[in-house]
Amino acid sequence: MPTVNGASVARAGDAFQTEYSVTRAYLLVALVALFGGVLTGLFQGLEHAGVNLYPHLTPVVQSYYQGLSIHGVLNALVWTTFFISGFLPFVLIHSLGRPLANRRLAWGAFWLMLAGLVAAAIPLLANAATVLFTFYPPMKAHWAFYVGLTLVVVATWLVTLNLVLTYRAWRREHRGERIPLPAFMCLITFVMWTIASLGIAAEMLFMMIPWSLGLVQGTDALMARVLFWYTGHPIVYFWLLPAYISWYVFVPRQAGGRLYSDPLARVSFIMFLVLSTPLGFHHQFADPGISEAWKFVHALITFAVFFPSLMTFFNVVASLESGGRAHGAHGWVSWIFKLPWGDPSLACQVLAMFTFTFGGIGGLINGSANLNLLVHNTAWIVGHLHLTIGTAASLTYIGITYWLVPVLWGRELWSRRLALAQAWLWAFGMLIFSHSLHAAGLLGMPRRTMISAAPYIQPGWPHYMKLTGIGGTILFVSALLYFLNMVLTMTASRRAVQPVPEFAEAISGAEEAPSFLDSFPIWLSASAGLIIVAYGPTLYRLLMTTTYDSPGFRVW
Amino acid sequence: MKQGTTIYLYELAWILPSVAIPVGMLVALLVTAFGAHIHMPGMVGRVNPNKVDSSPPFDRPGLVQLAPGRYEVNMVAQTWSFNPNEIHVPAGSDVTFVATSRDVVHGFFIPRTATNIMLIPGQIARITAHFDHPGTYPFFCHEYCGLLHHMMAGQIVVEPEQTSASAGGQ
Repeated sequence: MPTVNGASVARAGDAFQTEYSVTRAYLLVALVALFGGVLTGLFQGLEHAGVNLYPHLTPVVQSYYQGLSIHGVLNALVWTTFFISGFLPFVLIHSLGRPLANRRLAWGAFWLMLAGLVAAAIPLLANAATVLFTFYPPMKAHWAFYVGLTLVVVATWLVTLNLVLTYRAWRREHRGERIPLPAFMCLITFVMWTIASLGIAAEMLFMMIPWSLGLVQGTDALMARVLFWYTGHPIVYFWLLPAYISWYVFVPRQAGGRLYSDPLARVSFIMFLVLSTPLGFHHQFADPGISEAWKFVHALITFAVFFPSLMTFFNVVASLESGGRAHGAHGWVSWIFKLPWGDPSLACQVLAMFTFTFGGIGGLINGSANLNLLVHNTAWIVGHLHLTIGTAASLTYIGITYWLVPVLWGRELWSRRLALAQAWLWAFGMLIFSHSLHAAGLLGMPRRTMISAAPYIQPGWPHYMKLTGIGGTILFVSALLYFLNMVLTMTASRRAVQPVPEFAEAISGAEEAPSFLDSFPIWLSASAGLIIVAYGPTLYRLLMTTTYDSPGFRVW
Repeated sequence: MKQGTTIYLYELAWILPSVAIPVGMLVALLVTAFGAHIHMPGMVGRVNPNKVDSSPPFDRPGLVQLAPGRYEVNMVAQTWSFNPNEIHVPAGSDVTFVATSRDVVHGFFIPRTATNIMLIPGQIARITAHFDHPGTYPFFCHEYCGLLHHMMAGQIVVEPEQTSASAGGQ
């Protein structure tokens, strides 16, 4: 059996054959989705720069907005969910040193998720679900779109179930031991997501699915938005926490150092569990029908959840610094240059962290109700989302695959230099792309709009629209290099058993963390309590007063 | 590295300002809300989206003068237009937009201002803007609302003060 801090690799692969197959399956789907997403992304960017390719794409893609819907669903929902559902169980089994509790359940979850994806993809590709990835009613897509996405969510619950069962099996074998940090973080991530996804599940099961099937006649836009955003903000933590996990438990060792503080890392994740969900109104600051007082409460919790991200920033940077110093750096800054930048996995992730600093600051601005009114629904938000999910999460996932795919396929990474070029191109392209969108947003350019065709283009926008196209094209080139490298790694690269990276040791270890930190009931109760306080009164009022009288519209 | 205390000291040195930042931002938020009167949209009321045309005040879309320099615009949004889509007011006016949607979710945004609100079918939206300087101010829908979403726009013409106000329909 592999141990927590150092698996004997070949044996690990043998012990976890089924798990590795499942993770491979998830990764393949994730990569295909990412490819579709970046391809449509290129078309969005070019449209902003005045090169509208959509008229040439019919009948495959009917409109800019169909392309935009595909882009959002594939990149924000599919690439992330499939990657996470493949990666975190991989981390958990290595951390606990035991296989998943139920391997049939693992395959079942994958096939259910894939079936859901196919069900949602058919109407999406057939232009029957051009509703963007937020699918606000009373725009009405084909029912299969809602059923498919619901199945994807249900499949993630099965992943949660399997992780929890695996943890319980481990606990029976290891009474009184501390939960290893990587496993603790994987559990927190999926449990947090399961609580958070109850909103979208309720929206789907009680509103969208019966309505799209014609079982009920009407729906209500505000109620749907409240349920959607109950899930819609914590979903970004579902995307982000797996990146944090990698930064905490793999990157310090990749950098040649140690994790600075295990206790602080545990505290951060507990705070994410408790604080991620009760703050969705900060996406609805501009909505009528929700009282300003509750919006302020959600703004407060939005600021509070910035705290564990600041803790993560400190902990991860301090860990990197220990790596730089281990390579002989002495000064205040020189440790940055002493990091092993030649390792593409590390390069991707450190660049992702750097980018995320700005994403975090932008997030604070979005969460501030007063400033939010200037940027709500503008291109600024798109710029923000591409720094966070598009880089902090995605570039980290890409960095992870630079070691994970070689491990799973038993082949060397096809080209390290290509991977390094890809990492820097992504960071560089995103700098241009995201800066342009932030700036255009401050000038009032709306998001999610076929802007080149708009009659109200304002002074200053065209400059940034062109830069958006240029940045987007650089990102697309970077993505092509990535896919080339991945495909060749899987199929043509030299066969060699690749070691699973060992987890980083901690300078300040788990033994310095009070053991009540590992007590899930406390934190689950805190999470539920805060959600009831933050959402209860508004949800109760809406349930009592809402009349579901909006019919459905097909507006595309 | 000396372990234990040193680590705790560094952690503490980071944690204290990390608490101060969110608290400071919250204070700033409350100061601008109650000191500078920057408010978010709140509760106004419901309107049946199927009966917008017969529900006051939306049965008579257009500009209403409440007092000198104070106006209200009753506005209906639908795919893919605003009614009214052009408004004339004198400089120095406070204009309150009372708006809703009769179909899907729309938005109402005057770029580079905080006049930024969602128009949700079933909900009455209310937001006030102040216009000091003569000029033409565009507004447009900033929430995806279908194939011609990018065409959904209008304008506010702020005239030098002596001109009388009028509302153009569509």
